[in-house]
Amino acid sequence: MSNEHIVKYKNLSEMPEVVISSSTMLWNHTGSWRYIRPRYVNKVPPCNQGCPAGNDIENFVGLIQQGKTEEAFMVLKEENPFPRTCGRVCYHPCETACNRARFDRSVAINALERFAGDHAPKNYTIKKQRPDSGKRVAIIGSGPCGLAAAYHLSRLGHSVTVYEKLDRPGGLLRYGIPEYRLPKDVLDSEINDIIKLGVDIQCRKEVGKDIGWQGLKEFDAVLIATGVHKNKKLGIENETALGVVAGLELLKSIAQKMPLDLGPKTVVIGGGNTAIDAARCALRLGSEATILYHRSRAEMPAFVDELDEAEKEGVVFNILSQPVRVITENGRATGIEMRKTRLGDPDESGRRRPEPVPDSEFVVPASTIVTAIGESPDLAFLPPDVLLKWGKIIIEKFGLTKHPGVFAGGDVALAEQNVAVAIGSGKAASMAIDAYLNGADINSAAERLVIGNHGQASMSAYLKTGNAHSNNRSSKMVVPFEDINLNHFEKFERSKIPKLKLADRKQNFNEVHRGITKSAALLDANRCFHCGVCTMCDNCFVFCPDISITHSPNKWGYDINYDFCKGCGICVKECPRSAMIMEDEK
Amino acid sequence: MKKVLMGNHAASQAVKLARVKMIAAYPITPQTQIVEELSEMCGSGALDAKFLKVESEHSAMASCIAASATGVRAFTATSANGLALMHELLHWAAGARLPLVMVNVNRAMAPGWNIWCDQSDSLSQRDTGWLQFYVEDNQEVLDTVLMAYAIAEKVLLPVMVCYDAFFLSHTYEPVDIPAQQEVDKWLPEHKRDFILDTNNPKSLNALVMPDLYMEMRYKLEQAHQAAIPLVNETGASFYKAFGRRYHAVEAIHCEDAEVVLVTSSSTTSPARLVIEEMRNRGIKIGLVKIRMFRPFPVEDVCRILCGKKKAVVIDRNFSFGKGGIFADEIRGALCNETHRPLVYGYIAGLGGRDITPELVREIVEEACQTKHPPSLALWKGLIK
Amino acid sequence: MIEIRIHGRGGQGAVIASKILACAFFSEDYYVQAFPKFGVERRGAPVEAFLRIDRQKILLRNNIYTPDHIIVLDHTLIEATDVTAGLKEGGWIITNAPDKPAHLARLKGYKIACVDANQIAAKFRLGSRSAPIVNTAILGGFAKATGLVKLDSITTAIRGEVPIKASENAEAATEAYQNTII
Repeated sequence: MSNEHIVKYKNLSEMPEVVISSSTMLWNHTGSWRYIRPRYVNKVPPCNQGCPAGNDIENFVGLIQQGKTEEAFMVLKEENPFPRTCGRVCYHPCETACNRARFDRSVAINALERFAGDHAPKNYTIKKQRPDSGKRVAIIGSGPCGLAAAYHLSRLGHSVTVYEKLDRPGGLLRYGIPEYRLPKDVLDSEINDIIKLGVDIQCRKEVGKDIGWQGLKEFDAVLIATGVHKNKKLGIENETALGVVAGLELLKSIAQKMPLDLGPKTVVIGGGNTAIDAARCALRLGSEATILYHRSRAEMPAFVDELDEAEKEGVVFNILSQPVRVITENGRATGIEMRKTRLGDPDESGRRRPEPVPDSEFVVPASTIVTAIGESPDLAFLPPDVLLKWGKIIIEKFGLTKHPGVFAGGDVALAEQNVAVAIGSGKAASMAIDAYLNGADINSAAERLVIGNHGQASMSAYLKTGNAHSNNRSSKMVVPFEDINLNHFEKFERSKIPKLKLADRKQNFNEVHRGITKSAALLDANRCFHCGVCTMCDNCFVFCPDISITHSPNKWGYDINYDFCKGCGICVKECPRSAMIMEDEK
Repeated sequence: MKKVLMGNHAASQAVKLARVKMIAAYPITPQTQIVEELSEMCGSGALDAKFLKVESEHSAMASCIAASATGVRAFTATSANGLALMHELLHWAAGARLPLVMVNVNRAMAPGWNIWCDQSDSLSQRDTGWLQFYVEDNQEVLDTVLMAYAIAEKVLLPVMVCYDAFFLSHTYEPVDIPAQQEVDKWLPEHKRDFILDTNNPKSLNALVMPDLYMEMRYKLEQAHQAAIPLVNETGASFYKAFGRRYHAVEAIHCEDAEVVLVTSSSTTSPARLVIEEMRNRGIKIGLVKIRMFRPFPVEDVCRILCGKKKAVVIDRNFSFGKGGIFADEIRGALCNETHRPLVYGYIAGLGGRDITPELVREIVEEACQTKHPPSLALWKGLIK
Repeated sequence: MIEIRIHGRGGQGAVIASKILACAFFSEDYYVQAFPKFGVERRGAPVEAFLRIDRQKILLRNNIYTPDHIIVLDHTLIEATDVTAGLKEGGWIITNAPDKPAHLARLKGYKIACVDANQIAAKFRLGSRSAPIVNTAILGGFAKATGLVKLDSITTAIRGEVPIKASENAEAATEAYQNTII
């Protein structure tokens, strides 16, 4: 600090009568007092980290907030070809991660994703990110993982051929999720975007039957994304009787609009999403539906929302009971003998193990018995050097197998089986394949690509596109709830997601969940904290006691004048969303 | 129990010991820590009192007036501009004869903006009818707040206890905190006749016509005059209970002194050092500490100062267009006395400037060497 | 009378340090007077606090201009401000610094003691890494270097005056006492 600027009066007469500044104070570089300094950091919002598909959630919500629905939609499409699908069927772990959940209720991210997908203008085009590479990639299976990988690989300039064993592409999205949850025209619109990129989807081509594994040798890389289809057996007497059907088979038949007669009473064994879907479909086909499950409702792996809707629609839950045998009459199932169970100690999955109660057998009459206790992959076509564990393909992060050039993703490889996880793994695999085709190792970039500490890989990070708020950010800091300054937020009711009236769900497969209105979307987008992302709210600018924070003249954000910033930390404290940090002076 | 306390916490400890029932305050440096600690005491239950957060000092005083009118002990604290904002209500509190106690930490008035020590804030409330005490150290802060309630409740007048910003307010020194039961014995709960009571509704402080207003004022002055002996009596009873003695005026080595230094507040401390040192050199000098400013102890001042050659007054305050306020009061008290000393008025330490023993010595020596005091105050330490 | 000046930055607790030290001396039957430099304290800005100790009542009511010893809570202040202003010759400079006394050779004519209070504060989790609470540890260094006050008196005063983590603060002072480089 230089004292030469301090005005020193030689005598009284020199001194003015009023207290008035006679020089500037700019000489006083109060920045020298600082031992910690503020800095703007775009941190990772917990929703972004929590999204299995690696969506840039905070970014698209912000764009909806600004009325930029199309841009919001395009941000979603950067990471995931299926925003309209996910906006309907994703179980939204982003909302569980949302910091707002601990303030009032989480932002309705899932509904906003659907809003962006359904309301964006339809004349968009998906641009390729890179020119043709001349490389060819084969993808086995056109489910969410295979198609997501096809989409990204095509955008990365590679020629992609998808082999699908069934009539039409979509895999589980088409044949496993009923129309009342995911209308087929929505799915078709998103698959069309992928086809428009030049992806060649060859249906009715089963690898191992129509094309041999050796036939794939001409491709530069192969992605296995065949999903899980083999119905797990109950292992009880008369399981193959007429009237006993596998859950996924039932759903596929319904999707293929085959004529079905389930009779008056359908019994579904299982507590997963397939079981719930089967039961709700049965209701819509005019049958009564009962779910039999060997643990309690709390242990059911199906999404809670779906369980609630099924119950409201009239599905009966008969919990704590396990099947003993199918009762037949003339080779046809007429009922199922069950036995009561009670919950014992937790098993390796952490759920309490059901134990049979002796002499508690009872009979449930049934015209149709649906078995839905899980599915496993059918990997007979694979060469023996692709390693399996628990019946699934062993992969490293990003879908690498031990077999160079062979990658896998989705349900065929992952323990966690759901649409968003499959889409995310398809994207991760596309990056690994792209790196492989370019002679690079994806693992060297892995840390940079992962959103936050344990999120999905980000395509905008991979391509180094997007702005400072996108997932292509340098910071790995995820904003905890405690770092949000709640003084700057007011509680606000979360948008209600409209649902089809119960009476209107009978005898049809009309979509149950409806989209939210534009005004509801704007209100809910406004609820977003934008955790860790500067929105230029001006709090730092207003609160800085030293006027050391100014608007950046030519770019988004603010500049800090460290000559005068004392490091008081008020800006960081008053940042509503923790988009700033204090760090040690170097 | 002896503890190391800052002046502000000596004040809040005293308020706690006095079992004050209602505290209303607005923060202002250098007073804030008093009410900060009191609010914590109220919050924790250590003090069974209502703490009222208000939006201004004006409201703080209004709330204390209302509370005191119901017969409970009330307290507030402020400084400088906060005190000035209370001005109208200070008249009200005295006119309503409410035994309120307020601490004012003496701070300079702005502009120039200044949070440091200066007595002009409370001295410019001289004519509001409040008793005023100016105290020297943190022990005296605590003791005077206790005595203030005893005196206020006897004469039904509000009392302001004033001490120097930072030099006492923020300075830690040992303070003997008396035991609660000892204080309870010495300062029992007080009962008053004229209070707001829903069981016995009365109108208070209504219109008084010209035929009686003057009498009301006269009775207020009578109360002030009654306070003068009462202060010394209370000091004596306090001494009996707690072993520390206080007077309206303290005279040190004045018996044989030819020159007497007159000080108030914390300025008295370095003055004590200086006169001891000068007396050791054979100079016949004494010291008068004026502890009570309102009512002004005219008789004591005349008794001590008459017959001396010179009275040298150091004022850390100023009345513009006239001079140092203590010096002027002393001149006024002495003017009809035959053997009155010459009164030298010095101004020092305004706005928190240090008053060092060196400065005090310089003042005394200058006065000793100057035959006749100038009619205007002498400002010490100005830039040339 | 002994006069001590404490240099720190706003937020480092120089005033609290002066109070704790006052309490420690008070417990050894000194008359004490602790006070901040009467100014506008701002976080990070250089601040000063003072302590006078004497065997009789202290009647001075002014800032300390010629301290007998100084305590420096942040060694960067040695470069930034004139910490030795008025310091009596032969006085102690007790500073929070990772360096050995030789590194502070610029300060000639004084006795220098160094305590790595940042590191001690980190060990006892006092404050944060960027803003460690060093005002208790440094007092252990003061006791060791000057020998004016017992470590016991310091730790007892810390336990009496520090509202949270009192034991950790007392242990920090003890650790500093044992690791003061003279």
